[in-house]
Amino acid sequence: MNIELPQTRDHSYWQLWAMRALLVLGASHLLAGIVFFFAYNWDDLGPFAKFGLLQAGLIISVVAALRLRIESPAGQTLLVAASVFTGVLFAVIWQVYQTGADAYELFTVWSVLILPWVIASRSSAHWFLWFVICLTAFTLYGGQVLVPLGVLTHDQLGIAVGVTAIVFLAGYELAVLAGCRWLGDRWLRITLALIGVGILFIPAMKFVFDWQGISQGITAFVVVAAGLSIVYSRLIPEFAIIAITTGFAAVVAMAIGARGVHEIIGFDDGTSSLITSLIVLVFWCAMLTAATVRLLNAMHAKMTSGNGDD
Amino acid sequence: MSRFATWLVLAGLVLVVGTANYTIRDRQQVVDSGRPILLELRPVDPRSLMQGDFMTLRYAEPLFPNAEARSTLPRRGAFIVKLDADSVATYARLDDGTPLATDEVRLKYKLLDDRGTIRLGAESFFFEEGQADVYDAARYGVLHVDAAGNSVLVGLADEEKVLLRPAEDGPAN
Amino acid sequence: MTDERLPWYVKLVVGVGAWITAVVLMFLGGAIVFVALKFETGGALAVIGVAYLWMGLWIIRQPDRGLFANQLGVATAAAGAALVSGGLAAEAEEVWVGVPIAVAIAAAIFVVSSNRILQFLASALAAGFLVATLVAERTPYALDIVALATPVGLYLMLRPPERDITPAAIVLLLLFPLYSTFIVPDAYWVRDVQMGGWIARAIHMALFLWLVSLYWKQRTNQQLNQGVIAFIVAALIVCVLLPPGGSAALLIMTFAYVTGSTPFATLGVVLQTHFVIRYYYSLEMSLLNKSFLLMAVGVVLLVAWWYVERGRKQGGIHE
Repeated sequence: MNIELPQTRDHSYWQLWAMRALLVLGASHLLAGIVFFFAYNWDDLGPFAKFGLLQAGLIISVVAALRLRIESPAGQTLLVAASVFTGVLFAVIWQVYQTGADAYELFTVWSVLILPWVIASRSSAHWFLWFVICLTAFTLYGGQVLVPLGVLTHDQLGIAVGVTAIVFLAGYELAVLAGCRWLGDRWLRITLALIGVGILFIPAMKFVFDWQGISQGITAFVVVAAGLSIVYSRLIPEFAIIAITTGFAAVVAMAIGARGVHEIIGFDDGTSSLITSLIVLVFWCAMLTAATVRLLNAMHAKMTSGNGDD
Repeated sequence: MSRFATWLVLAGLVLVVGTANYTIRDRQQVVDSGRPILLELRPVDPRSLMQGDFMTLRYAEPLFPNAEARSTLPRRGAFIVKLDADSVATYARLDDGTPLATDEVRLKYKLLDDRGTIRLGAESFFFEEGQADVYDAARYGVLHVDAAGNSVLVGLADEEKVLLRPAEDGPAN
Repeated sequence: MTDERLPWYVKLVVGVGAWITAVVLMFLGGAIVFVALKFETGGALAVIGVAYLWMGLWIIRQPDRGLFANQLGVATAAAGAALVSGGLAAEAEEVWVGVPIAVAIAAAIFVVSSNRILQFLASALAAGFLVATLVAERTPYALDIVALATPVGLYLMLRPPERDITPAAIVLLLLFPLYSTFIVPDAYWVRDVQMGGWIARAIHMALFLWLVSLYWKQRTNQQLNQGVIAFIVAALIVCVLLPPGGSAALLIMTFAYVTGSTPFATLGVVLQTHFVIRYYYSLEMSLLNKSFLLMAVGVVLLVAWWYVERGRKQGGIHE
């Protein structure tokens, strides 16, 4: 067997990547195991044993993080571990003392209490964890309080959650602009944009297919997609986000086409209109795909001509 | 590493451990010194985020004020329940400040939606994975309640009003 | 006609667009056969499929076709491949019939067209029929059977034959990770059908060893590197402890590291995250036992990390 590995690989980058991946994978499996363990709700382990174990883990993580220096990869990982322990500790308190508190309160308490560590650790992974906890808290608050009280409808909650994710993205960009250079990891920016656009995609599609009520779903999607396209093509060039928004927008446009064809020609008005509708839709979808390719080709050429990204 | 960051991390630790133990002490007090009452369950099992297996609890109709009274309730508050000889509670009256009789207990509630759905205490009971069969027999939720009406669910009881205990040998794996 | 220098996620976007168009085309084929011509047979669907396939391939072989015609051609040919294999499988009333037909069509497409999106869609179709057959037939040892795709895909990725068949290699490489984390946990038949898994584990172990040995020979200049050994030991233990779905994504990440591939690295991370979340809800063993397995895996990986990190600090940075 004569196999040649690619020679273009950037060895020092991948060496760093592998060490990071090994550390993160090890820590995340260990922490996932700890979450599973307490979720099992083992009766043989009394409540105070559980509280004690978790607080011991918490204190050991924090002390070890300080000893290993909190800006080292190991120190940052240990602070993330302390944040996870905090969540598990409060989940167990909520589990042992069942008082009728809502799940959103658990996530809110969690997000507030770990904030000092999130700030101190200067780690984009830690900020991402915090973002996920905050978004979960807000989603649960909406589902458990705002929707039952009639403040928001279910669809409006979906829009609010998606917009919240984009607000976090904006906060991230402001922090980077304000000089937090350590936050400048591309993956966090791209992931936040993907989550925000992905969540807003659902109410947009719902609006297209159900044609229900007010057009907030599609409006939010269009505004956010347009905003992201302008920001990440002109102000902060990031082609991945352009590709994400363009891709989702193309699918929404295909759905609008389907809806339009249904309104004008009709899928259920007899054989010939059904077949005409489908043919028109095929052309519409192929045209949008071709336009997407052309647009992304042009954008990529324009955005990579200045700087050597990727 | 800056001094500030170190202090921030330590302050965070004090905050977390302090909040956790304050919460534990607060709720343990209700368990230790609260008055036990039984709330009849309405016959109604998924897996919760981070907390494992649980059973959804819905309490029986005699525990709630009638529709007319409900429409006047503030969103959060307390009403008075009356206990029978076995400590089984039924709705008695609104909390109008008059002193409680010996068989009366104050209980906090929360209005969940604009249709008047009321929550009393815990709405779910968490148990060890695989123990669902034991808790199928549950007819009452057992709460410990303090004078202000704060409650902690301490377990579930069967028809005979006996607290259900998890099976000793654990689930068959 | 996508530019080869475009990042992989652009190809993903284009692939999704072509796939949606193909789905609409399939509806059109169905409407023509069932509603307009009133043939209530799968065979008639297959005939329309052959026409699609011929038309689509004809369009994308035109030298002066524009971008739009190209997209239309790709979607038409993909829809044709699906209608022919699906139609004949429906005619035979056996899902497995779709497998050899989809494979044959995919092979033919590789011969007559160099369009990577079409090649990928045709390969994925064949893989989809294979998975559908395993589910429908309640095939025992399905995990082990699907795991056989991984070494083939890996070999084709690392040593491409004369004719470039990278899209098929990608489908083969991703088949097991996707199958084991997306299909198996939901499968209703897990309880009473022996799924296997140990052969899949053995395959993963062998592939870890193979990848590491390749890496060792070409990147470390024959030097005995203790970090590499630590990694091998950790990888083998993880293969034993986790269900094969858990080691599959780690294998993808190792492949990404050895070849320096960002898309596979990203995919590996996403797949492993998904695996852990699904593992929480799977009912194959209690949360307590799963928690011990996961903690053990975490400790093994952390020890390997610590060992390599220590070696790097003591002996300077290798490579």
